[in-house]
Amino acid sequence: MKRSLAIALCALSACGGLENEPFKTGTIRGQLVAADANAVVAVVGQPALVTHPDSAGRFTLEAVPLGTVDLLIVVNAALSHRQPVVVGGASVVELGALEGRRSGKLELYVQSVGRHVLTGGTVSLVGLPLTSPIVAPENEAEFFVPAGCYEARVVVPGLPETTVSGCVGEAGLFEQHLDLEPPDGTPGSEGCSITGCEDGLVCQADFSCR
Amino acid sequence: MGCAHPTGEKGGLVTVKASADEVRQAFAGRRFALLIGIPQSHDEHWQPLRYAKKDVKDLAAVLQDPLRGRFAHVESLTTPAQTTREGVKAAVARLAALATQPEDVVVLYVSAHGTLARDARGELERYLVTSDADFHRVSQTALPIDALSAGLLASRSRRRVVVLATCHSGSGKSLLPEDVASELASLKGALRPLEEVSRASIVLSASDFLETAREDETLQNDVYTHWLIEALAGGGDRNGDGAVTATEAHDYARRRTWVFSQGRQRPSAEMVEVGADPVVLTGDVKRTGQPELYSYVPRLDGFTLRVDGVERAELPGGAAVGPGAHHVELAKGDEVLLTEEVRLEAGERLDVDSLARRTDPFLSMTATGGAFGFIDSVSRQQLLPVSPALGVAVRFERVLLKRITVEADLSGFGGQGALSLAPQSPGVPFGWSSILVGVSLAWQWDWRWVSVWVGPRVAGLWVQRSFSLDAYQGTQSAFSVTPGLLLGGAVHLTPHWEVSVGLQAMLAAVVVDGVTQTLGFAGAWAGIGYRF
Repeated sequence: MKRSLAIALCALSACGGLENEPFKTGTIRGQLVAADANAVVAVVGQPALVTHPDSAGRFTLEAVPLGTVDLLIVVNAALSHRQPVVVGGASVVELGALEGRRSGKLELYVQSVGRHVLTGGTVSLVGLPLTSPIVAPENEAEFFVPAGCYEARVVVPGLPETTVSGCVGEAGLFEQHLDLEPPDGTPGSEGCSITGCEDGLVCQADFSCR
Repeated sequence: MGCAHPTGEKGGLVTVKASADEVRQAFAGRRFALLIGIPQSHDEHWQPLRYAKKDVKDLAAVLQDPLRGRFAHVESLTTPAQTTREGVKAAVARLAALATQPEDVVVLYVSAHGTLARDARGELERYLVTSDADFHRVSQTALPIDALSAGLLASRSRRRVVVLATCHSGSGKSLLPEDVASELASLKGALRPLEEVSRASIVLSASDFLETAREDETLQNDVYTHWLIEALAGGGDRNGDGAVTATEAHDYARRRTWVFSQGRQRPSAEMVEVGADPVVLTGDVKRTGQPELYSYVPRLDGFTLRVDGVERAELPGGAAVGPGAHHVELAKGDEVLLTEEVRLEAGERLDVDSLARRTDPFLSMTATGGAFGFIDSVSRQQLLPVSPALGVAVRFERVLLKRITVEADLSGFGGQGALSLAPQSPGVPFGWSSILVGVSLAWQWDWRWVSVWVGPRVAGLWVQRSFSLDAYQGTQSAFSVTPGLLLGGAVHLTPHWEVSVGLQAMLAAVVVDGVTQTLGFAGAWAGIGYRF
């Protein structure tokens, strides 16, 4: 009965169908040489498209959108790479063996204007699956990345979120110091009465550390 | 049985001196005529005809004219004693006996009252009111018109002409019994015209059935007869060959009678065994005449014959044209029955009915080439690009209401290409094939060499796409019923060959990624067609 109905509908209007969805993404494959446990392969601007190579350094990145994508490859702390890749619909792009180049280093030092203690802060690179904690005692976050320009987002509880941009060359260094000031009326404005003060400083009545 | 030869011995050939003209004359047909004028019956129900005798006298004069008619024998019957039922029958038999060769021309002319009555079988019959006819006993006393034609069948001539300057409508030169008139009123149009039942080669009637044949005081003749005489005197030589044929004379008299009577009297004719062998009534063919186009078939009555865009004759009738190529058109008002290109040689006579029969109805088969594709650019990029197509179209012209044309078409197209699914992305290579089958119902217009038709159509569109990619191998197919419009046109290069073009626009419901989309689909093609 259903079959007859389907045939009748087909004769009267339309049946079958065309599918384009399978052709809107592709796959990238490759193998990283000398990859360590921190190795990662990601599509810049699409944080969900990230993968970690297996122990042999082989990786497969699926469902990559059609077109040209910027591929971030971190082999280890010393070697990384960014590479444009043209992805065709329902096609597999074989990149072969990838060795990486010498990484540049992004260093960010974060402190509050009131010298409060910073806890739970992180820095992430915008559009990349790379995040680093802000580590005491110097409140430092660092990234080993391929040569290029990046935007970093700094998130510290009690302090306003901020971003900073910078470029780094191959084996180069980009260093940036950030002083974060809690805005009036925010929880941070109550200062050290909540966060405490850095070593050697005492919380004052105006909530500043001296 | 002996035969002749040149030695002069018994059975040999005998040398005879004879000029080519003498030989031609010997084999040319002789001309015989019986002219009957019945001015009055002994029954006073029928009013006397003033000019019946004069019609006969005037016609005899032109037929016996040594410069025109040169009839070998003309017998005139005009007295009451001569024009009785038996007298007329006997005269017809004498006329039939005179013609001994097929080439002989036999003319029987009657100017008299006509009437209608039931015959012995109860069928309504046409009668000639002879001098002894009785108004109350028509079938027993008058002469059936059919008897005139039948009497001529005994003749060996195949060039027989009957001219009836009479009518049976109950007015003018006829009077009907009251019961017949009453019945006729209710049966009007149901009777077969006289011309259809006659077996003579040509029957020329001074008036159509149920119309009135009239006498006219100004002309001093029966109206039709007056113009017929004028035609035979030379005025009717339409093609200028020196001779006046029966059809030329009738056409001449017919048109003038129509004009003179202001449309009240419409002479008619039936032609049998006529065409290549015209019946010459007066004069001689002295030179090759102009080509002629004509028709006398009832189905073309009232159609206008246009030649090269100029109105030349109203059918039944004909027209002489110059030698060469002509565009012939038959039309009645806006209705165009025929458009045809013809090439005519001097002396050629062409029955346009043969053209109409040959080309009606038209069937054309056209091999087409063109392109089809979706109207919107997104669908062309993401579903199917514009594709070259080959096909065939079959067109049945004017199958309904003489304007509706039915066209069925089949097109196939395919190719290799790439889908463009995102900007600046590499295309997705694929191959496709597709079939489009449609039928259209179109209204057609014709102008000379050009036909244009437009109308709704419905088609089935089947599309298949094939992919051979790293991560996808396979085919996809979709079918859609596509309503739409067709606009077509053709230029007729010859009577059979045409160049045609077509534009099709359709709406196709296509399921794309599970969603039904209504998309515009269009095609254009050109083709070479042959018309049957």
